[in-house]
Amino acid sequence: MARLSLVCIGLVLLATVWSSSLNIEGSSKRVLVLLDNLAIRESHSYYFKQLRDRGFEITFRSSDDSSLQIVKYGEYIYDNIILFAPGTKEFGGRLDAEVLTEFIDAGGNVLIAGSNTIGDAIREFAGECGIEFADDKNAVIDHLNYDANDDGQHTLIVASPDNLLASELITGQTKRAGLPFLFRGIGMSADPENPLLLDVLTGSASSYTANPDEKSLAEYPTTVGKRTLLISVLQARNNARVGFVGSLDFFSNDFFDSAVQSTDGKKSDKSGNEELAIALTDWIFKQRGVLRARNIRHYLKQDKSTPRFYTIKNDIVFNVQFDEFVHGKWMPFNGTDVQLEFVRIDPFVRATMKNKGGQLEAQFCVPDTYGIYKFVIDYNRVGYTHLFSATQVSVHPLRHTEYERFITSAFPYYISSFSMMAGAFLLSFIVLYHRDDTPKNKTE
Amino acid sequence: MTSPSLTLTLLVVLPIFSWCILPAVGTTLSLANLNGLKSQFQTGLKSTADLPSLHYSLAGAKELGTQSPETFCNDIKKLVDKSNAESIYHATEAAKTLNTCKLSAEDFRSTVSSTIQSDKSTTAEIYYAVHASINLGLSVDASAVEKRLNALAKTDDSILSQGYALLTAAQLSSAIAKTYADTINDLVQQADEVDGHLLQYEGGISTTALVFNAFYEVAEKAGAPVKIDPKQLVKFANYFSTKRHVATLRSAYYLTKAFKYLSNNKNTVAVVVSRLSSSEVNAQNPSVVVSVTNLLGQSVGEMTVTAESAKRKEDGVVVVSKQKLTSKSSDFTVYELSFFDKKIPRGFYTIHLTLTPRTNGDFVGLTDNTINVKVTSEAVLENAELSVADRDNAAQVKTFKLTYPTALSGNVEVDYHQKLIVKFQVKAKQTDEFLRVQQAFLRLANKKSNKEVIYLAEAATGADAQYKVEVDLTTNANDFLHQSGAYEVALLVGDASLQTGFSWKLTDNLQLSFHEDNVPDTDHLNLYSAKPEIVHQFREDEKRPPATVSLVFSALTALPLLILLILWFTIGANFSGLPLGLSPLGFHISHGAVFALMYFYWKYLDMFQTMRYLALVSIPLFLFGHRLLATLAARREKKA
Repeated sequence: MARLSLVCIGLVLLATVWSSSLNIEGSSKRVLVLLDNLAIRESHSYYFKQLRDRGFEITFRSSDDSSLQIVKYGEYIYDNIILFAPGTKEFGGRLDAEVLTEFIDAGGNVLIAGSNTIGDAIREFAGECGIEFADDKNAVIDHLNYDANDDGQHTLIVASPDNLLASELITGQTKRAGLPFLFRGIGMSADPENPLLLDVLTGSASSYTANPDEKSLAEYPTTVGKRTLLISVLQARNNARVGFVGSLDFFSNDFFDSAVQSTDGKKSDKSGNEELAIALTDWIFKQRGVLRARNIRHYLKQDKSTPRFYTIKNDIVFNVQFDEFVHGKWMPFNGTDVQLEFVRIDPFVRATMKNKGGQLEAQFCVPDTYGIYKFVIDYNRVGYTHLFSATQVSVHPLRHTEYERFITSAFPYYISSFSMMAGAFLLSFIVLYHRDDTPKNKTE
Repeated sequence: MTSPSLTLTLLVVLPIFSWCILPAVGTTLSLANLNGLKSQFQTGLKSTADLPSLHYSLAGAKELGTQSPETFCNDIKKLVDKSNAESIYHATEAAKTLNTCKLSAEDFRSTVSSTIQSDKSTTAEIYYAVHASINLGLSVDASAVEKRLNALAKTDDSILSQGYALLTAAQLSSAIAKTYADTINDLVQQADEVDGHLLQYEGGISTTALVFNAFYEVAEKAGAPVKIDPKQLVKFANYFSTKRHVATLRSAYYLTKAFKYLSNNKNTVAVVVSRLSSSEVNAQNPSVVVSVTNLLGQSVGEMTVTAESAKRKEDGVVVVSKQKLTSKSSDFTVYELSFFDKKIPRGFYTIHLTLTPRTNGDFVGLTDNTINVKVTSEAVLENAELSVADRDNAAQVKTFKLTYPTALSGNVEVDYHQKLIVKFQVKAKQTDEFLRVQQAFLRLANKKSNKEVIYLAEAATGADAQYKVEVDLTTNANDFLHQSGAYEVALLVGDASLQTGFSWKLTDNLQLSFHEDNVPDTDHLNLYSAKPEIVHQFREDEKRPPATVSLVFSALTALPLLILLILWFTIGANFSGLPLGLSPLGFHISHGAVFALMYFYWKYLDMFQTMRYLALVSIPLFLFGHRLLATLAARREKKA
């Protein structure tokens, strides 16, 4: 009996573990930081300080800590995970690639930094996301764009903001600021079949990933030219976000503070690393680019009433309120490219909605095909969470009394029947009362 | 200490850059980031929201030689909390950095004395109270404090607490300081070693720097030198010198003080050897210049600097041994080693330097100093040619000679029967030997889509190292997605041991034509763009005749009635048989009403309503009609 109840409890617990999910919003700020060694906490202290200033509750753990766990009593105890532990072959405690993947499936966000060695656990997890890191000991090399502080192997490369993804949500103002980025680490390549991956920063045309100690390249490098991915992000279908940065040093105090002097003589007093690192983290941890839709209304344009069903060729109005999460607050969304679809298997109407202070509106005429329709908003833009909303309505054909009457072409029919009636009416007088005035003739 | 892997490393100026890549690096100390610390204190002074920050900023700035204006005295007086010993400590320490800022001792006497006497005070609080009392000129019962510290040591054995105990002892009598100074060695043993070359305490930089300072303060009070094993001292110095940036003002302050202790000639001085010249050594830049200073970048007196050896990283070949460096400055901070005139092959070298002081003094970090340099050579691209050959070698090969850095003018056309061949050599300018490089790429970029395809050029074996890359347009068509059109061709040549890399645009206009149709690029960004709008196409109305035709025919249909009326009129229709009475009137009204009902049925009513009304109307119609016909029939009978 006791054993049975234990099994039952086990099953219940298992079920809760599997069903536990995170409802990540900007308010979810619990961050677990896993480090190869605790010295990273100090060498990257500017970055962590910025995160703390942004209200994140940071828990630092060593990546091989045997008491490591992210689920407790069936609940995730963190919303976001930063893995600054590229050298870790295997995580301690109850954490591995599978658990991390489940964490993503539950809606958690993960930021991963690599270096020239990357542990199997991280490799496996990256593989699940469609990212393949180059082999250990490889580094991104660029003989034409390296920093003056380079150690001679040309692995401290200067990445140009021209190769940055043009999305202010993900990269902040860094593209506009135009400051170059310092990068030392490993290159990665993205699965070309995975549409959810975005290339945030790529190397220049002359960059490649190889072992800098090799005299000549024995085989084709893992990544070459602009396909050398330095930073890439993934937004899963459940809007969980994952970031991959090939360089742990990218987040370090040194790189944040360092001046940049590229081989081509361009100098800059400060690197763009700090700004990009913060913008990227903000985005990955859902402080930006989060949308929600509410107050969906649809009604007849004529009298602003919402009927039980619409009839074909009705003019109707569809209304929805969009909010965007900005700096910890929900603000009216001001995008003007939201599209409304009126779908019966296929979209019959697709209209761009007008935005009046977050209140989006579209007007259109119901198609002349009846059936069950849906108002569908499928808003999927770079940097924003995927917003999908569907509202079902039915569209009826015209009632028998609702067709057109008094058609001009039918006038001959109307007039002929009424003239017939008039004739019959008059004929009744003639038939009944007409008398021939020739009684003589009769007598004759 | 030196392992072969250490020689891999090249970082000298900023060893921290590589600590996570090559964790074994860093036996060579580096200079303190004084400018970073200075600006951190200046920023701290700009926003003086709390007293500790103000204290650390003022004191830190003073340690680095900047005297702050006296106006901060008002801030101190405003921010101090009279009921908190820690706050009082910060206030008195901050006031001490200013020349004329005096705090009244009477205001704080009760707080500090009660904190010292309280059984609940922690070691830190005791230290704050004791130091504040000393600063304020109040007397402290040294033996009572010592007893309290001993009691606390039993309950709290954390390293930070022990550090505070040392700092407190440094404020008391020298006898007490002496007993505490004897414990320094035990405390040093408690430090954790990281990667074999750093020593730190649990708690990171702020704890380590505080405890390290405590060693010196208590030893100073005791009048004895700090007894730390030089090997361990170097490891502490290493740890501090890797801290280029610290997050808090407190850490920055203690770190600054630690640097000062390690640079003070009264103590053991940590010597820093760092490379001043660039890591590249070549014909233009033939010598290696190093600086020999303390952690703060100041002179440590005359030294004999010897290059014990210079080893090539690849094969361990020693190119320099036991060579003395020449002093280049009067204060003995800069030394020079002429390196390149040895005609040594290009590559990475590690130079081991040993220092021998010519002056009296206690130094650490004299041996095992490594400087990493690389010898580079200036290269030229030679014998470059681009040729277009038939796949089956049937036709003549078309060859274009190229000279760096000019691009080929005019079109080059290659179709799917042909292949593109590029050949070149990399030659060292000085030695005229042909070089092999790591990066030798041929890059073809589609001018329309900017998509690039990169091929590796391979060097032939032998001394001439002829690089060759062949692009067959049939077998490699998939790389180009069969996209015919204009391409840009560039040659990318680079190597760590070349002075400069090459990015040479060979031609701007290479016309490729492939056999099959092109495969469109897959761009996932399309998923994220707005879709084309759809406007529903409504079914068109059936065609109708024009209104005039309908009206004409309407008129035509009315014509028979008109003709009927005219004909009746002409033949003289009359109503002379109309009998007088109610029945003809009633009959015709109800007869007319039936027809009117038909109109209303058409226009307004439904069938059921019409039937109802028709039933009503048909009663008078029947009765009146019957009577009328009866009347008419009777009349006809009479006539007959």
